[in-house]
Amino acid sequence: MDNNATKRQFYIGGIEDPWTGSQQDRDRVLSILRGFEGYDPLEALIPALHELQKEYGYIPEEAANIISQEWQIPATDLFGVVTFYADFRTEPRGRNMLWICEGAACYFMGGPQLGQAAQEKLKIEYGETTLDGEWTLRRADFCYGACHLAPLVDLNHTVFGPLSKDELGRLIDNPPKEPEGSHKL
Amino acid sequence: MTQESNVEMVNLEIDGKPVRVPKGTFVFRAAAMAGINIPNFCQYPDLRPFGACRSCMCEIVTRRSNIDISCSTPVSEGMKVFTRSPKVLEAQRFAVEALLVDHPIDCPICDKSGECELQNHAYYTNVRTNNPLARPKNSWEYETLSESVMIKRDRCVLCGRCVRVCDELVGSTALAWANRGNDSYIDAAFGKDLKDSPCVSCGLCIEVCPVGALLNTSYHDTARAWFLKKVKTVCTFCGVGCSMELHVEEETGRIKRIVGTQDTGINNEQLCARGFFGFEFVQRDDRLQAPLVRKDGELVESSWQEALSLVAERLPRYQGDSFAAIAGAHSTNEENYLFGKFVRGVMRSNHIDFDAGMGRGVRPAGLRDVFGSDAPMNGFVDVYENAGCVLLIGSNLSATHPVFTYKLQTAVRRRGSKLIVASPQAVPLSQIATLDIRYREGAEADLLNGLAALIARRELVAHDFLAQRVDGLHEWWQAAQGYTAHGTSANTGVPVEVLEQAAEIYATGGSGVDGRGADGLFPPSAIFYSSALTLRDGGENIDYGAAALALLTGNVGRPGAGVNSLKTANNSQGALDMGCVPFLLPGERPVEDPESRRALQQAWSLPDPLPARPGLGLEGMLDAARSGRVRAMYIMGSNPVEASSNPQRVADALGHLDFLVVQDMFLTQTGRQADVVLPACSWAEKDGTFTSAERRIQRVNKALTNYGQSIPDWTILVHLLERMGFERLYTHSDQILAEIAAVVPSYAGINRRVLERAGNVMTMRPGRVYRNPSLDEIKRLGVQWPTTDADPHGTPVLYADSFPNGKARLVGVPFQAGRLLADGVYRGTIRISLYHQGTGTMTGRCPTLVSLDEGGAADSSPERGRGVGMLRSPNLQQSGYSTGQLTDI
Ligand code: SF4
Ligand code: SF4
Ligand code: SF4
Ligand code: FES
Ligand code: FES
Repeated sequence: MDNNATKRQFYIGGIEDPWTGSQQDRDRVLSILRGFEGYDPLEALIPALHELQKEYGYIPEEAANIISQEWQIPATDLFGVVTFYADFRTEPRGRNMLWICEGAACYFMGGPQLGQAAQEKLKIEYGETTLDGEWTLRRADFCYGACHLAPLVDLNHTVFGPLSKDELGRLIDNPPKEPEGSHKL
Repeated sequence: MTQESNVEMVNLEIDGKPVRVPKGTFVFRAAAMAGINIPNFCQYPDLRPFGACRSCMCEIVTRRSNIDISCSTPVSEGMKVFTRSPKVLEAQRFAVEALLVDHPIDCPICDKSGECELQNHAYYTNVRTNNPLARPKNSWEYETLSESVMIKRDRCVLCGRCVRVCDELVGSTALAWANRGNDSYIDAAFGKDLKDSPCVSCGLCIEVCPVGALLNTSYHDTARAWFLKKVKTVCTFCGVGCSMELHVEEETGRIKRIVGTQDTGINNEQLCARGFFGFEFVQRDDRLQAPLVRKDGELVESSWQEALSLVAERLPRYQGDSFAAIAGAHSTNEENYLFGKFVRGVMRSNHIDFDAGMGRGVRPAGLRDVFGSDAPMNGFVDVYENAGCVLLIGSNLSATHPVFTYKLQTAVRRRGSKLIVASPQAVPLSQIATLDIRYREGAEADLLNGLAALIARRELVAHDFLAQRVDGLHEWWQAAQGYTAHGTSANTGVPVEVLEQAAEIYATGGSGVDGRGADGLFPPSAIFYSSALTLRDGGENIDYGAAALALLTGNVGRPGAGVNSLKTANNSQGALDMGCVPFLLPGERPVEDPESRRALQQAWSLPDPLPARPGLGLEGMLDAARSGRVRAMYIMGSNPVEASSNPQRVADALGHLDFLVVQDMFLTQTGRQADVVLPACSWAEKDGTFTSAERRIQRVNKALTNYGQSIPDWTILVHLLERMGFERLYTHSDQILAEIAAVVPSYAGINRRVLERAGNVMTMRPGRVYRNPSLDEIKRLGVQWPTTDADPHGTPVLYADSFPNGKARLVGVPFQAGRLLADGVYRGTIRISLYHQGTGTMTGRCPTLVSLDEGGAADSSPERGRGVGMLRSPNLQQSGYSTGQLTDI
């Protein structure tokens, strides 16, 4: 067990994988699942995945396998769900998660330029994480349903817009310490 | 037409053609039944409708006219459908054009070219443009998902057939859709190797992929579809008896791949890994090229002339009890019949047997005492379509009879059939079992007899059935009442509550105690096990227990029920039917019966009566060889040395013989002991019939020219008989079949025409996801013996009216506290291989199967056998039973 735990310490963009595969981690997953006792596993799946992701920043494969076993959901279905929703991630991510919206409205209002600026500033490409593990940058090819704010970005589940390149730069220099999930428009 | 009594029919019109189909049929299937093809990608018969690709759009007129997808629209009375109107063609063309936007159109290098549904639909719908500017083409590299499955994702049209067949029809759920929308792709869970998933490498996903996205690793880049000659035949491995097509490249005469074909056979396109990938052995360079004769202690190549003359000259000296023979469980009925005739009629010996599993011969089955025959009573299709409950005991059918278990899981998951899996260790089906019972190793007999006693105590019995059709109830109870719930629990290690539950589910066909129908019977329950389970000492008690369960509950002679003890190899059942058993003549007639012997003597025009004493079985022959009582043996298509758990001992026994003849495709360890080795053809190189584990007689068709100088087993026998002074009796295997039809009562009236008509088209699936077929419909799947001259179409369910001996006779097994098989008989756990079979003579020479099997390399070299050790010996895996009885033979 211990051996495995050390083996799993790989680095993605400088961050340590929060999931070590230890008994503690496994118990943590089980306790999340216990929170949904009495619910139909298929109904509880998405909320449970959210909790898991809050805990680890992504959905570790082993954790998904535990869910699959405990709730008798095929691993393929879990994989399907986790990759279907853009918000779920299958790899560890940086401490800040920045999405640049390139949905139709934002695209025309300058989304790609914002994306270019962000990539230059952070010295990473879409989908990557900075070496210090601070930032993960992703392109949203869907629409946030907030096109009146176009072009917008989503930083740690908070939407900011409309933004100029400079404003985006300042946002990156000074990311607000908002609790995840609050929407300040 | 179909038997319509239990199905409501609907009339509609498709392209002006009146069509009449069962209610619930989808328009697409109704059209297919009327011979009208509609473009489609995501529809696949027998899957739930999906409606994702929109390529099957038709104009469907009910109250108003609509362009709608035909694959998911059920028919309705008076409906009119147009499949080719200009409006429809335009809609269909649009759907295909949309798919072509992303498709790489790399047809020149695609395996699927020539049989690709995208090509066909583009052609059919007259696509004229492919707008390359719409957006950049998708581009993915070839990727290997496992040793058996490759994927080229840019060709994928996202129809989802692969994901859905794997889930719905195979039960593996090994493939997933990843991502969403235009970025979707097919993958194993979390991008892992498919081999680490529940994938069983059945190849169905490859088979159903309409385009060249999922690819067969062994076929990839080896042939062009249009140069392949397709020959329909039956699988040569297990007793399921799947229909398949061998695809042979005309120019090279080599098999390039095997596919299952839709609507054909009991498997309906499904195969297992062995069936799908197990053909490479046929064209291996280590096949025997020419006869071998021992000269100065060495086997050297010789001519047929020389080899046969030698055999013909030597054999007559050993006529009578000093001659013994082993038939082939993979040989055709014609060959085994002729072999039996040769051994009994010419060599005048009853020492004939075949390997019934684990290198052991056939034992007199307990089922024969009860019913008069040990043949499985109900067929695969009947059971998975009709059984309310299936009780599986002590067998890993997923390894021994894979395709049946794929079907069984659909019965459980779709139809809600109850499944009781009783096994000392978890087997794949345990996962979906309604009740998963783990009992102590070797406690099968106690478990079954204990359950029977429980059912009797709880009065869950079929009184009328017992009164009318069963003898010996009183005596049975005298013996069986010793089985109390607690006693059974103590002997088997199964908790009393679980026993109670199992008894109730089985006895009530899964319907609960209030489920009795008007006829006083509960819904049907079927029992299945591998007959290899009963090959050990005391094995008959398992048969008695199973028989008691079925008889008490009236689960005999009706659809969805029966005691089904499945023989393992593709033609074990046939070998038994043909009388390759020391105690039975062809047609299961006892050797001791003077009347049967006389009939056979007459049919074979023999001057002298046939030997009257039952002969020695496989183990007995080897003992007799050791002690010098048997001095010559003839082994056809069997490898007793490698099949044994103690190869050295068997080889020693054979070493004692004066004269040994072996007929095989390869030089096996058995062949190395021989004085003469005769090169035989594989199943792909000959005509004949196999009888599957459910008594189904099916045609095997020659697809290849003979390898080297090899000739089919039956031809070798004919030549040999000629040299021994008999006239040439047969020039084609059909002539032997005709003789079988005349001589073997249960095969009466069988001929090539009947078999070909029956096996070819599966007519019972008019497009509903699920329904219960009638027995008449099941009958059309192919011929299950017994047949009669008047009705050669067979009998799907045995004993509907009577038993061979009039009534069935219950046999009680007295309870004996603490009984378990002798200590030390069971040791270790055997890894069960989904990929290898028997001694691995065939499967061990198929590179794909070898690579799929973990540790296969060590396990399956042609030289393998002695050193590997018993725990890895695939022979023990053949029983599919996860423990082996490691006693010497
Ligand atoms: S080979 Fe069979 S089991 Fe494996 S993924 Fe394909 S359909 Fe599923
Ligand atoms: S891989 Fe083939 S079967 Fe699977 S979704 Fe793609 S096109 Fe359909
Ligand atoms: S080995 Fe058995 S299950 Fe597999 S394809 Fe052959 S007959 Fe069918
Ligand atoms: S396109 Fe960006 S919010 Fe709608
Ligand atoms: S075949 Fe009908 S929608 Fe795909």
